[in-house]
Amino acid sequence: MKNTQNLATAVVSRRNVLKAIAAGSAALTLPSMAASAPKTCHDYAKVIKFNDLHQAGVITKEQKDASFIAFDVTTESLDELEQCFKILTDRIAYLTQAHAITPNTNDKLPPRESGILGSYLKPDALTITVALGESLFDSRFGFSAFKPKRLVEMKSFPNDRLEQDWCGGDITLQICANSPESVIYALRDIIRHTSAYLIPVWKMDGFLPSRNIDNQSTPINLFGFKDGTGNAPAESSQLMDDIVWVTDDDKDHAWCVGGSYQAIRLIRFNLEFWDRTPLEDQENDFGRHKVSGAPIGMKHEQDSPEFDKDPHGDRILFDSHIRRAEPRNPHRYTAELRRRSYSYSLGVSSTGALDMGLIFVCYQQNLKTGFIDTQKRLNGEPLERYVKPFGGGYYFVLPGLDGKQTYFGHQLIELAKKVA
Amino acid sequence: MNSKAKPLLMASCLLLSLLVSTSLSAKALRSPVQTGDDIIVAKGDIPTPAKYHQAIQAELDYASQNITSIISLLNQLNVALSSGNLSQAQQFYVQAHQHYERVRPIVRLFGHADRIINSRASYFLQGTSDYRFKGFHLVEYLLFDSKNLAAAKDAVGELLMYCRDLKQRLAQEQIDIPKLVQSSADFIEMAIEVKLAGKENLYSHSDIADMAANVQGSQHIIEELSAFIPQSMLKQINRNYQQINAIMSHYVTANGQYKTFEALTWHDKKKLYSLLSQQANLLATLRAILDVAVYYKF
Repeated sequence: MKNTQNLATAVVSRRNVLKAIAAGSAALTLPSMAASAPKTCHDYAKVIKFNDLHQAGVITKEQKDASFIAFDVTTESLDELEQCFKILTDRIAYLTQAHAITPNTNDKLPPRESGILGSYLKPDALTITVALGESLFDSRFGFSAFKPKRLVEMKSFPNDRLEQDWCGGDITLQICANSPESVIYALRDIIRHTSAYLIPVWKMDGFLPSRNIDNQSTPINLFGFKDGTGNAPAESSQLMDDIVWVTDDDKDHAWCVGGSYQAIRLIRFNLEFWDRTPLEDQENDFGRHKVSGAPIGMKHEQDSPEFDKDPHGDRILFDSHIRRAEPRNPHRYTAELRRRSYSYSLGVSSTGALDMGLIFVCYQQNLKTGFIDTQKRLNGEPLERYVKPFGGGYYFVLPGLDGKQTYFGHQLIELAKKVA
Repeated sequence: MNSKAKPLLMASCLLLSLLVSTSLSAKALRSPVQTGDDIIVAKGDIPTPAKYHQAIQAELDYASQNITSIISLLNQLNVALSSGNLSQAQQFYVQAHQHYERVRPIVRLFGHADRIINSRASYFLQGTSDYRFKGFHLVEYLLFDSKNLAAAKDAVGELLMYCRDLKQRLAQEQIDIPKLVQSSADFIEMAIEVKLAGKENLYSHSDIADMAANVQGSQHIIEELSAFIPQSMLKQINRNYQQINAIMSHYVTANGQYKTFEALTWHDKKKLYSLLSQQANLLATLRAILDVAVYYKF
């Protein structure tokens, strides 16, 4: 019975296709209609300011594509590292602005740039966010005394299966733009200009659903759930100062003010298993309805979960992801962080499983009360059966270029120079 | 070998005759037959300026010397195998391959010679069991992995044949200046791409030795060309070589050989990455600096 139904639908849809083709060819014969065909709404010329009090890419609205790349520093000279930061800043300044690309005048030389964007560089909302890993604050450059107070090495949580090749790094770049080629253009440019100082150690590309970004709806992750519904709103600068940025009130080093702590977690999803999981399990594991994104028992995505009216966890289980991540007790944003995650898709495992998952990224003023405490609350959640974190690390996002410093890392380098 | 080769030969003759009779696309690549008075004469290669002849001859001599060393070392390897001295045979392999890596970009100028002499198992889906897996790395595999001395002897014999052939070809060939200039950078590129990952010698783990050989090969070309390179650039190039060689020197053993790849520390590997990348960037500008003409401009 079911099969015949499917067959019937197939026949109908094929007919529709034929109709559509006929209509399409008719449209092409009418020049006026062809001319009024909707143009792309993609604004390649969009510029996001790179030099501000804070770095771009932290509370910036998510672009569609991202690449996270970690480098180790190959020099031990502070002067060379300074040179490296200056080059990085120059490249970021160059790449995030619109301009015609300088033509090559000598064809016996390698071309100046990759050419993958054609002859005009449109930044496509590019942001490049520079962060320093805990490992950079060892004895090499005399940074140890100035290590951001909350910066620690990422320790393994009980459900983690960390792989060395995917962990750590002295410096990370988060490169985001609205198309993969814009991200790759920036990435290749930076590697080309910094290979004398930096060696890439791991890289993971991420994406978000275009349709969600275009429609300004919450991005849906590979589990099929809206991801980021309860995220702290970037529009509230007070809230951002309270939970994302290191501020003067913080007991951190003065040079860290304006920066933020970044947690990156590369998390593999077992999607075949997930797709074989009953919907009610999926929804109760999250604590939200899958389609609407509403908390269980509620109608709309932005409805409050009303934990106060569910004191025994009958409706939204105590074990559910949203309740553990953010109990909203004693107040909202119990998880003092702001998320900015992407999905990733690589190949297949040796057992034929898809290697896909989440590049979980969050920014916070304090790693402990931000990501670490949140992850501790999540340890043991039912969702763990489907997720295995395997890489990433904790990093410190350098303060922005607000006039006090002319390149990223300026204040830190100056401090180290005084001591050296 | 004969019994195998005959059917293979017959099969390829059959294939060839099929190709000749059916392939039109191959014909399309040939220039059309020209008739009448307006015959267009081929421009041919741009001749190498005479000032470079000496440098080119020096490189060809250097290549020839290295191939001679390979032949001599392979002969010694054979003797070691005959006397059942595996560890000595292994040493000879590493040394012979080092000589090869000192001239490899030059070998690559001779058609598919490098593919015959130096294919790695990873070139083939069937890996070590592929019939095309032969040359240096088959010898390496038989000496260091399967330790099959009899098979190794056959493989060395075949490799010797290819090397003697290569030597003869080297003696008759000339190379143009663009190839010489490009080779100086190619050495560095092959070190970054393969040796820095330890993937050239998966069984003998002698990639540090080969990396050193690549750098020496590159350095030799630059020495031959040094009279033509502006002093400031030459200084930079030589400083890079010095820094690279200083790192490599940490890995020299008491008998003048190199430690195995596992000894390469992350600290040194990342430094080599940066230094080799800088050198590759620099050598990539050499064609423009020397203003070597490679193509006719239209």
